[in-house]
Amino acid sequence: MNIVETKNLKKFFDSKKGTVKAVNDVSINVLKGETLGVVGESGCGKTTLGRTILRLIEPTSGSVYYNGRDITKLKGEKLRKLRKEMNIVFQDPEGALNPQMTVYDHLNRPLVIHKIVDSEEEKLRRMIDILNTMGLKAEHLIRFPHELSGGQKQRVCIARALCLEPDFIVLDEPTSALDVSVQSKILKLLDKAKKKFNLSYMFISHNINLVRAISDRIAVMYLGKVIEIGDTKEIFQEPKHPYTKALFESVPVPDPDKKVKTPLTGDVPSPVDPPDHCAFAGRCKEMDEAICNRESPDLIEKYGRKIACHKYR
Amino acid sequence: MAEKVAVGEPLLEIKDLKLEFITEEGTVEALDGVNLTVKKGEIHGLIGETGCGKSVTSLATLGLLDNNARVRGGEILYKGIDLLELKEEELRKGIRGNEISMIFQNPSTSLNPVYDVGNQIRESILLYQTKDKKEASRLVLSELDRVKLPDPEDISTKFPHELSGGMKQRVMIAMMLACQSNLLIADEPTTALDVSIQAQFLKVLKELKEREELSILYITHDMAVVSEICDVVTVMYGGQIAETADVHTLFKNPSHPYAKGLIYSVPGVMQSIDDFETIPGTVPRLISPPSGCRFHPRCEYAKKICQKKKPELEEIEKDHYVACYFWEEVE
Repeated sequence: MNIVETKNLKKFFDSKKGTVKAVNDVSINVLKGETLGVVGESGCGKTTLGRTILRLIEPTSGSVYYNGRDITKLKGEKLRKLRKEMNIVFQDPEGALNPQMTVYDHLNRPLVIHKIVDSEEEKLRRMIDILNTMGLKAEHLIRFPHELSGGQKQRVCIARALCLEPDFIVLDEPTSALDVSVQSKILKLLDKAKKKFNLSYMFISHNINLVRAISDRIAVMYLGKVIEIGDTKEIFQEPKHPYTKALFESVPVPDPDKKVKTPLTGDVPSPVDPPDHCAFAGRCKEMDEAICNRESPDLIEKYGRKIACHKYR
Repeated sequence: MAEKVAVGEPLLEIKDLKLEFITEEGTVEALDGVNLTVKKGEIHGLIGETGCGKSVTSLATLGLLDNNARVRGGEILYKGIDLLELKEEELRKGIRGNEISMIFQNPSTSLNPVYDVGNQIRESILLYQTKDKKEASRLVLSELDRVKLPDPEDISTKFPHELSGGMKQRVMIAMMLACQSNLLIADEPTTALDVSIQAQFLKVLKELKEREELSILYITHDMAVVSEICDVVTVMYGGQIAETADVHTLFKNPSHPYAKGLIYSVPGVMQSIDDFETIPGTVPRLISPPSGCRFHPRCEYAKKICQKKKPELEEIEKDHYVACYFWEEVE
């Protein structure tokens, strides 16, 4: 059962240099109750994809389905109601909190806007319950952001996302700005919240070791397209797409016995006016001159996952 | 300072370095007896969480600390000379650049945006290698080639904004090589880079170590990078050294409770979220740091003595140092 599905989703930005095809024809789904990890290098469109799904950015074309309903064209009151059900946590908690507002204010806003609670008493109970889930205490309600550590701030951001009891949360690099020991704490709390509130996550990150540890399925993006998507274990065991392979081989793993053998060469090409053919062809070791420089491969079902590569047609 | 240090011999030795910062809020006891030895031809990882003193240690080595820093004791020996005793001019002329170089996290802020990169590398060459301008221009190309930048002639005419992050970081390395430094201090050099670019960059560093016996003090909080390129690793916590060991020992058999907690909280060491370790509490503020072992308030093995007296670094096996009274109890 899909909680979120995109069909041929595109988001293009106009720039002086040309059209930036940030999300270029992406059709993926997030299953109910799962964590879908989205990985890729910077500029591959993973953040834009997350935001377009949430309608924080308007898609250029294509559609987004939430619980089977097309939400691409929702407006006004209907869109506002939807905001309650899908939420986002950003990378930098510093920038996501208002320095002049206390933790109480941050949690109060969404509750008031969406008229979730009737009495102040119930509201407080709810806030404290969510803070507790996030490992914070009632006393933190009267704190300002500058009185909290980086990890605590991010926990407040997650609490704010949770307080409307959403079903789906986009986590956009939620731990990249944090230290490792704090990161592991946040990941545990996110896992706890997921079980407690029956959540589905889309976890965007460039940290492949991290995504591997926490995702049920994983989607690999390259230059605006999803090039491989499937079960995390299977993909890590045997990556099929040449880019997935090269990416995984380039990533150092925290084990001194395993070293990077053949790092990916070349730079990520610019997403401005990307080629019509396979965008990875220029860096691909298994490139076939006859096809790869001519056509763009579709994302097709193969080996119980989906791959966009001419090798697997 | 022409004398050569043989591979495997100590190049930089920091001994019992104590350092504090005078701030409006009070005295920050940033370093409390730091001991660190970087040998010739090794990549030495310095790891720890934000505020543990990694960067302060490296800046102190180059004499680049702010005016409010006070050294309270200890010495920083480079080829046997105490850098803390040197005057600013001696540091500038004799140490920075031609002996020790440093690269930072964000290469964009280290390069001058209004000169092409060839120009900037040439400047180092003219200072340290030759006075002949033609010869210098030729050397620029060979330095760029040494860091595996494709088409050096083209790259040397490019301005920083025309290069990718990874290329810029390699230009920084080329500048360092042009100075003919023996020790490179790299402070989170790949944090701003993508994985594929990071892999290329790390490969260049490894090759320089192998080929040219370059020593590197590599500061990072990325354990995967540490396991990839470091030979020896030192773990810092709250301005103190917790553990120093070769990279295999540290990852397989961490002996300090903090080092253990740190390594077992890294995704990839632990394959599933249920196995992640978390360290209770938060990093201490160093204005009034915990007494004794600064990790004791968060440590499950802590006993009374840990509050009273700071444990000294003890060599528990060859080249494996731990500052903990109860390391034998740590599983």
